[in-house]
Amino acid sequence: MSNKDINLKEKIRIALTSTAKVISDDFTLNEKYSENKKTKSSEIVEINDLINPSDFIKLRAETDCAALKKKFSNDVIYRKNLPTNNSSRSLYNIAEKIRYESLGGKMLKGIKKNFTENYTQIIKHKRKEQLKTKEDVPVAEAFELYMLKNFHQIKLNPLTSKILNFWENDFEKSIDKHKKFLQENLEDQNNYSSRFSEILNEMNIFQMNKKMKEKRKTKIRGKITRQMMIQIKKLRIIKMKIMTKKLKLL
Amino acid sequence: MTPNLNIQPDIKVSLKQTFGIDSEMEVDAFSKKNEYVPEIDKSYKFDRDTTLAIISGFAFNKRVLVQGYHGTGKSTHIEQIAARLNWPCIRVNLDSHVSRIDLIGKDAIVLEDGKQVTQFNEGILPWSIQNPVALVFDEYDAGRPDVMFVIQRVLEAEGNFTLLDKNKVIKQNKFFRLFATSNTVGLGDTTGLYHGTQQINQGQMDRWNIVTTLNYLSLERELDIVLAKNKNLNNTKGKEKIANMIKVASLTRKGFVAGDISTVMSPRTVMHWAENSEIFKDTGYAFRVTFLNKCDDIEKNTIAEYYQRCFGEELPESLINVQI
Repeated sequence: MSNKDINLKEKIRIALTSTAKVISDDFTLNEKYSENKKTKSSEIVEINDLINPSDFIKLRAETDCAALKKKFSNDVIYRKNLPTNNSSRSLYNIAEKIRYESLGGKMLKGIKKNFTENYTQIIKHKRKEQLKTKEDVPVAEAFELYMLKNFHQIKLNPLTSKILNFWENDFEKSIDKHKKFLQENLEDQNNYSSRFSEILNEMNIFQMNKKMKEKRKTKIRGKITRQMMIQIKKLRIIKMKIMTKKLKLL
Repeated sequence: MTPNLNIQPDIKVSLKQTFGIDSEMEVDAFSKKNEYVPEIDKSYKFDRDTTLAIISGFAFNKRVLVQGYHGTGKSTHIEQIAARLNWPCIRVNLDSHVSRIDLIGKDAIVLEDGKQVTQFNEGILPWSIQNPVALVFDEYDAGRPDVMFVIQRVLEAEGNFTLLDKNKVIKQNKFFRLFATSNTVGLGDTTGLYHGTQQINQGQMDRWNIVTTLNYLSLERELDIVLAKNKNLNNTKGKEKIANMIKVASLTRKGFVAGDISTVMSPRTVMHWAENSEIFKDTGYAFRVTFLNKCDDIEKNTIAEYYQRCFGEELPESLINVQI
């Protein structure tokens, strides 16, 4: 890496860390940043993969997100309403992230722009090898798209719309009637997260998701068994051929 | 200077009516204006606490020191109150070149009956003491320590002033008032922002009856002030633009507190920015010529990030424009 690159990365690091500090009102972020650097925490601004401007947009959005989490997300309230179920937890985390990102977007229009640009990029670069049934879409992925569409007003492309389509009705059934309340309580973390926790507990998609996972496992197992049988058959044929050759030689 | 002003307050002014402050207090005022009374700025917005402190200085002959960051309108606040009371007001900038003789007076050669004679010409301090004027020392903490002791005696409300050069003891006018403004509270500058300020002798600080602080205001208050000065921006679009400007200023203030940048945007800078944006019809360019060009080169990228967050637009100094 050339000196020019190192200087540029240092400039970016200083500018983004300072911006995160002033957004979060946490002026000790720099010290925490240095501490985290040693432990390689996920909170730090990683500037290793900086190849094109879209990486900078991503970096900006990630830094803003981390700063907003510090500013708007209270850890005690977060833990208080955290669902016990593992699948619900991942959705709860997405809902909380969307909450503080929305607040940041309301506070400063540049932050909103950064999130919109970054999510649009993510959506644009999404690829799916197989997308035939609901089983091909993890519920967390679909839920994030649902939240982006409804709370961040992010426009989905045909692929992401298709991904969301598999789950959208399930989400709508549980969340639609609470949408107004959730929008109005973005600033009240306790109201928002406790309501989300309730919604997630009542959602039956996790049962469905469990069944689907099992189904997927069985399907995979079946596939593996079939492939193994073919291999065994092939091996038997080879064995037979070798035996025949040996007999001929005798 | 003009011979002594033979005037005294002849009317009472209600705080509620004149300054819009919820108080039953009434203060002495002059019915007629003279050459020393500042012009009224109708758009000036008064800060409640600062107004009350300054008014008590006028009403009860208290020595009032207004301290605060630069560009927050400390001196203007005193001036605008004096303007509404028709109280003659004189501002003296106490920089480090102001000497003792500038304040007290000096011998000068004058012509008298065609002959050159030496005559003592009184300085601004003896003249003010003998008149019903409000004397305002700006940049009080930048004054030279030896000069500051000249002021010490007049800081006492009943204090007479001995003019050694004339062997004369000057009695204070009943309506002489003394105010000062400073960036620090006399304990020296710990921020590095106010180079040239001095520590103030504690014996002297002790003589100020009221010390009030006028620092950065809330977004709403600052918005009102900037809009009052830029009336053509008083519409939905203009308000949003000014609010974003104040947000940038607020981020620079936080950045300064965090130790990341060394230049702070004052409300005065925001006002200049708003005016310049109307001149150039370009908010970004106006920002650069009003504030960014005053900043250290290594801090420009950081400030450009602050700007991007508030306006959602990139400045040429933004790191996104650097070829990666």
